[in-house]
Amino acid sequence: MAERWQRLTQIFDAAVVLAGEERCALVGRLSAGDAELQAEVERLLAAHDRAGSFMASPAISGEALAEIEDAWTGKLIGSYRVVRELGRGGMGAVYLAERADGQYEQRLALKLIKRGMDSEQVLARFRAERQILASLDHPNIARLLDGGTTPDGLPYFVMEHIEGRPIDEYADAHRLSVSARLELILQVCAAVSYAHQHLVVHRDIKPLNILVTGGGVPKLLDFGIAKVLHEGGDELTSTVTGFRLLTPEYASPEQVDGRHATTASDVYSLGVVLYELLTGRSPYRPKGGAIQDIATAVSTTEPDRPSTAVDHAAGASNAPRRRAGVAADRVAATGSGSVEKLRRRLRGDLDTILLTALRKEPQRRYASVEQFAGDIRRHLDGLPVTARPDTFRYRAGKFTRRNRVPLAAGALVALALVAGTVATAWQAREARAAQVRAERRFADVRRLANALLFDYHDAIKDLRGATPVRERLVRDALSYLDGLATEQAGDPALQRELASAYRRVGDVQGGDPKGLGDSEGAVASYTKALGILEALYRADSTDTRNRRELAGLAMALGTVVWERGDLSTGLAHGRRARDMLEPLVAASPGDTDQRLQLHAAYDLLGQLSLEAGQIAEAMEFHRLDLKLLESRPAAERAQPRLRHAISVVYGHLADAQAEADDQPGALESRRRSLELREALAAEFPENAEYERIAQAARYYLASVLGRMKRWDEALDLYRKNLAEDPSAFNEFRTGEALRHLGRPAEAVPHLRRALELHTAAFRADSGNLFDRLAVAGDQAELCSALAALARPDARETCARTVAFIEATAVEPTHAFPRAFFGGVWFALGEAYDTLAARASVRPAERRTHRLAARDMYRRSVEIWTDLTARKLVSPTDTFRLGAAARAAERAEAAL
Amino acid sequence: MADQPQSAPDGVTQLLIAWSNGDKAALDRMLPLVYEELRRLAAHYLSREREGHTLQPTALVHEAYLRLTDQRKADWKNRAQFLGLAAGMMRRILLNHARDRVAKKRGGGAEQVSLSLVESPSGRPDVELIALEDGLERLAALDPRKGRVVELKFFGGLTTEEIAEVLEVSAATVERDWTFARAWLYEMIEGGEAGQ
Repeated sequence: MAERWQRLTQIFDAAVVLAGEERCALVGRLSAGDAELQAEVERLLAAHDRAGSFMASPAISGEALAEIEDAWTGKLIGSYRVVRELGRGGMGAVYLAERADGQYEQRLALKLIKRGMDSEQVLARFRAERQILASLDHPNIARLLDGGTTPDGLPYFVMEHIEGRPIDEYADAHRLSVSARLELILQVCAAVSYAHQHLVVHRDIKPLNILVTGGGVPKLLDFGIAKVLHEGGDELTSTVTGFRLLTPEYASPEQVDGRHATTASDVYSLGVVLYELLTGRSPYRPKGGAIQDIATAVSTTEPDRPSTAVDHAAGASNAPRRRAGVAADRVAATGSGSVEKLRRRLRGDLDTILLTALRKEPQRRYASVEQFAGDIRRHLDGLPVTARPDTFRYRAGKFTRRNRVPLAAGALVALALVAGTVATAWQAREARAAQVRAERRFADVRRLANALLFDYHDAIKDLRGATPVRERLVRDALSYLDGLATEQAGDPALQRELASAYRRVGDVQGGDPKGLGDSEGAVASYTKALGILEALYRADSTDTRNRRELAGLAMALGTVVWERGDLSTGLAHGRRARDMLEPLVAASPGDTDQRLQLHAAYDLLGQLSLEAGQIAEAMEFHRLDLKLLESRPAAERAQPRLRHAISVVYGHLADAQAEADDQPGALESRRRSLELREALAAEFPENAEYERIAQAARYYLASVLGRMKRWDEALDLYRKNLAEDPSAFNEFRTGEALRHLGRPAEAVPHLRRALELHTAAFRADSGNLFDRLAVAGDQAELCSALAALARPDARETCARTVAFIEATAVEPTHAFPRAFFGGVWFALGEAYDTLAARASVRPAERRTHRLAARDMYRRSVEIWTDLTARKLVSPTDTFRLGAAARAAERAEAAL
Repeated sequence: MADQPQSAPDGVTQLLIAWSNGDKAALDRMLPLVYEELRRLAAHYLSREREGHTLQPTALVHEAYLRLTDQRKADWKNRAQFLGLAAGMMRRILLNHARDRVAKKRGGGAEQVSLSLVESPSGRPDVELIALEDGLERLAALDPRKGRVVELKFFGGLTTEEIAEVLEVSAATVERDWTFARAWLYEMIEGGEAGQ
């Protein structure tokens, strides 16, 4: 190392620990007249003092590695081809995409979520929300069309691609006047309000999410996506760690503080967007551009009055973001003539409206987007606005900030108490004028019910042990909703909102697979929603929305009562849905969504009819369904979701045909179903779901073949499934087919493997009834195969199976497992029969086997008889009672 | 289970031992393994970040070490070597990536660096990393140990004590080297922009 370098470092090392005069003196002394060296040391010391947090934290950041996977252009994502990248943001990249099958020219925006967004949870939430998001059908909302995961598990969303510019850019480029800007924001408000009525909160409203098309139509992007991507409160934390989900400039104080976003948060963000549109700057003047500075400003400082903000902006070189010298721009851009004129325009109403929307406390803002929009409208019409400026006393007192209670997951039980607190707050306001009180209360209750249902419930639903809290939330939400329902009649928008909320309660209670399992409660809530929607429908039967929502609810009700075994009510709801939808489909045949909704109704009706023993009706519904779907022009029919639906209908038609003992018909339908699914799986190899449903179709086809004793064909299909997925189930089916083909020696290894896998699953979760059933089934089949081989361990396997079944407690009304055991006993009877029929067996032993066979058959008969008496047997299963009874008689006779 | 580490690619321990015994070829065979593992771990950590994990390079390289080596055979000295090695890999991963992105964004070539970007809240600007890399190479040419200290601390996320172990010097020396190197790099990057 050069001597000079060594001197440099030595002087630096000695001097850096000192300060001021002392340091200067030391550097001078040690440099010993070498001016160049001294200057260099001084430069380094100065750099040291200035370096601040330079390299203070390690180099790696979340983003650095997250973007390693890249370069999608030209590649396929799901059934979409990426054309080019449109942009990149905190949560991933947005691409321009088109359908890979070239079915449509339509250009789409595909948002690929980068790694680190916790793909599985994102997807789970997406699936949960998708129905709701896809149902948002509003001219000012960009439609969400599809979503899925890439082969390596990155979630993506496909949306309508909007060609437009962010609202602020658009307004400035077109030099829109203040009034024109207000009109523009009113359209945005209409979209947000529509979404709120569907109980979807945007959570990330900002100019970049509001694109205005060339035709001047604003479109909101990414509705509800923020929630799908990021459930839970720690939004700012994630922002800091590099995943910028929230744009703090537009986020409400509650979001910045990590609390939950509600409809009031959207009101706030709309306020910020309008503020910027009018003044050209942000409502706050943060100390710096760092996220933390902005966040601090948002939660602790008051926004400038818009009218004075124009002034500040005039000389603001430190104005945040891109806008320096804004006032002049503003004046020019809005055609206001002069700063003073613009100020006058903003002073008064607009100051009050914006400051009301921007209040820190959500409950002090406008109670809804409609109210916010209403005031803007009143201002434009020259009417007095409803918002009132804050009083001096209020302003003076508000900075003594309350202690915020963070919403830690562990403290969730406290959530249920929130309800009570709010209730007390209403009572405190009892003294006010009746009118004000009613409105206020209504808004509060509405917000509370929504918060309970959406934010709080969603936040806790995956937590272990949250069920009691969820139940409490549902109960509370219901009592608020019931209160609202009695108070508020007349306003259709509110009625619709109420219905939507009841429906949501029903989903939470039991309509959803992940619900609380309270199907009775679900029926009650759905019924309330139905009542409201029926009233709306009676009031205006021409509104297609009323029809669609009524149909959707009837379907939900039909499904849940079906699960409760009430077939006739289910059928009634299904017919109701059908009656609502048929005219809609006839009126707009090109609307695939609607067509698929009607398909779902026919499908439900077909399945319910079959279960009710009305085979001819069932077939009729499925045939009608096929006509509905297959009659479409080739381009529409080529859509995967339509093809998938058709394959489902063929499957259900096959069920009905099998029931009518039309085995060739069933076989043909099964083949159709399989062909459709195999084509989908071949076309979209990256979509595992298609392969999965193809496997299911293969299985069903094989079972029809099995019933027709065409075991060799069945075996081929089972083997194909086994090759795709070596699961216990496929091992079992392969073994079963081999045994029926008289090849028990080949069957045994498959059955042993199935038993092994099922036993492992059962051991891992011994409470799981289904694994228990599977183990019993494997054992019975294995003992049949061993018996056929005359293997010495056959008897022991059979005995073990009997003991295993006897150790399994099943409720007498639990039809499925009992029916399953009915089948297992029958199979065991056959196995003992086989053992008894062996030539080598001694007479005493033969008698023991025959006795055992008879007992097994009798147990089977007992189960079927009891299930039939309890009306728990579907017509499909009645023939099994006959078969078991005949076998029992035969065994008795042989004795 | 799917996301459990694959069994340690056998040989990393052997390679480490061979390398520390002076077998230079062992390093070449080991690097791709380490590199892949780090990338995989980085992705793995990223996917857990929302559960409150901050992506710490230290955690990454330590975990990579645990996964890649059989601890019963690898002694402490190997571990220190490994950490040093991994820090270098991290540096390379980040730099390559930054260069790719800059090239893609700007159509080639790095650009002048402004240190105001250093405080950018979301991630570290690519251009800064690239400028830093240039500086670091120059620093390492003048004073290899200081270069190593920066690499280990900034890219590897190692603590002062760990760096001392790797470099076999005292913790105080590491601290001094770091203070100097940081000032020197800052001066070089910022001074280069303002001065000459």
